[in-house]
Amino acid sequence: MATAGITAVELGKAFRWRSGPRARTLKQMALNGFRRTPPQLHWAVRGVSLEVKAGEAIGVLGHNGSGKSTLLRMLGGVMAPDEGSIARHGKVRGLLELTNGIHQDLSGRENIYINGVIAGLTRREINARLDRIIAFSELGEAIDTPVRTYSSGMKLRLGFSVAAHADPDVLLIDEVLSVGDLSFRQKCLERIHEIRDNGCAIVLITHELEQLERMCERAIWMSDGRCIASGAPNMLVGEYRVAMDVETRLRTPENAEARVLPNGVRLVMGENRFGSLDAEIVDVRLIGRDGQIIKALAPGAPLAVELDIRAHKPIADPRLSLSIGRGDIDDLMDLNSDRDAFQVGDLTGEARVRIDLKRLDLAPGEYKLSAGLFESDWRYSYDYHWQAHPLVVTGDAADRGGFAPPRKWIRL
Amino acid sequence: MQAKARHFSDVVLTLVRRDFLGRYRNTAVGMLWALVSPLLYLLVFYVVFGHVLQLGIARYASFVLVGVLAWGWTQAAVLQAVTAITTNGSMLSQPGFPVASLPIVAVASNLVTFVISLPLLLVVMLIEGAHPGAAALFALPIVLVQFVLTLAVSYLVAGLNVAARDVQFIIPVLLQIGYYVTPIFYSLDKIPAAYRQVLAFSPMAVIIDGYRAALIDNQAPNWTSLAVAFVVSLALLLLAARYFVHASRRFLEDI
Repeated sequence: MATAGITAVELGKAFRWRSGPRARTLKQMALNGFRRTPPQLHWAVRGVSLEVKAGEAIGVLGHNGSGKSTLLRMLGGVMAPDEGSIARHGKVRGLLELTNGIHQDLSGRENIYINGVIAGLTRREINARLDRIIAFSELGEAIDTPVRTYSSGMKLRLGFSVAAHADPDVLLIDEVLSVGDLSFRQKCLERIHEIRDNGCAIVLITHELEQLERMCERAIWMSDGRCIASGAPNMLVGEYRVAMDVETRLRTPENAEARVLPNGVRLVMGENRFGSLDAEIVDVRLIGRDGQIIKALAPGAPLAVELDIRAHKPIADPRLSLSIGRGDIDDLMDLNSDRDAFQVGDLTGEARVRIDLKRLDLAPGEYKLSAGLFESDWRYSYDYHWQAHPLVVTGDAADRGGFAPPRKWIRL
Repeated sequence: MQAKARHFSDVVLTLVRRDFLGRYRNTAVGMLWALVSPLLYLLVFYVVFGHVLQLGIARYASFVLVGVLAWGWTQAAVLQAVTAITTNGSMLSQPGFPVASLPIVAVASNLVTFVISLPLLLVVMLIEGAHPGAAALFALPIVLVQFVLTLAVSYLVAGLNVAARDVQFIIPVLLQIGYYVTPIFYSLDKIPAAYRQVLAFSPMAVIIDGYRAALIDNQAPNWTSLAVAFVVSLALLLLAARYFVHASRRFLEDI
């Protein structure tokens, strides 16, 4: 269908909060009967317009609670808008929760049918695609063993493979592309590109900004249920990053004193330290092969980084980042807990996290380590030590370049 | 339209298969577990009302088992339906997923359990000297009546439980009461006439009586009562389905 797509005009959705955004109970209903309090209206989405045509991908940026998912649900027709109108052309399907409906005791093959009908396919359509789905999932022989024996990555592969073969005219994607191992993730992205090139219209929600830039021709930025900007993804992503810095600066306390950490590093607010300090990184320890605290290591040696964290108020599931830079290159190495699918978990009081780097092949020289603790949605930092912690890599100063793996030369 | 209907029936078929295959997959005796609960009820009723407090009902074990199995179908279906929406939020958010299929799945997958426990009934009947005949075929339209009735209740409770989660706690109690006010382990002619006239209106009483006539006594059921029960159930189903469809537009907001 050449005219596949969605046009949404001035969409609005209001949730009725009774005594908070929770499920109703008879008690609350009875109470309301006695004392008629008008339900509180909360506009999750308001005044959002959007158009996506066949072969196009549009991205939706925004923090949790900005209304992205509500918007997607309205576009998918599973939630009725309270304002505005939606015109859908073609079959609208979703790439939402990949392990939707999976039964642990049944085999992968049996689960393909379950997932398939939920994704909108008929059994006949699934039969026709079965071989392609199994091949794409790379599950091989495991397809006939119960799903309970699968790793979580295998389950996601199964779920994605089914959903990626549903052949919709409009595909709604909610965050699912940031799962699984790297090579499969790459394959998923390629598959999405292929689906789009075959004339599917795509709406993509993701918090991976690079993905948004690569996939989408246009993007909209939602905040508090409204579309606050729209346009080319690279422009929007740039603004989005700036907004995070601004948010952090706004929250940075002005009168915080400079502090010297146990490792001797002096942190000065606004110079090498940024954040709201609702939680702090109170110490950063570099640990060598034998468990001793070190300041220097040889190329190819392992390194563990231990972070001591103190939360001054309860913090819900924050993100951690760790990067190593030299000179004016900030991110020779740039890791974060999100991309590595590590959950820090909720914080109250003290906590300690260790990152084990099996080997570090940096060339000899002086490096600076940055460590950060961020709000769970990357909205701002609680505490970010920018290029604060020195790390020396020892060895033959004759080594040039960024890497110096342990090596030997052999004439064969 | 036709494609939609095909997809709808495939959803029901596949999810019923999932329920059925998944339920006993990892157990040693498999679907024999479906027979354990009715057997235990049968044993209790048989000892208590067949011997301790004698009710004087002929072929009492067969009589009780028909009631236990038929009621068991409706009870299990309604219990599954009451949380069918609230526990399946991720399916509801899938564009194009027919929400109305979930209560049907609850009723149909427990119908399968009901059917596979019928051989047990046959064995008990043969032991007690009851020989099912051609009248057993009359049970088929009765199954249809019970299906419609159970589905009506399922749509209603599935939708109501989204509006107020209390429903899922009330339903087991109501079903328990239903167990006693429905002639499962007693027969209507054993109770005082005043109560009899009230209880005889219960569609479940008509349905269970019908099964007994057709299966145990090899007789035609009371068609008039069944026809009334069918019309009532059908009307109830139309109302419940309308309510469900109307309520389903707000399901995702309330779960």
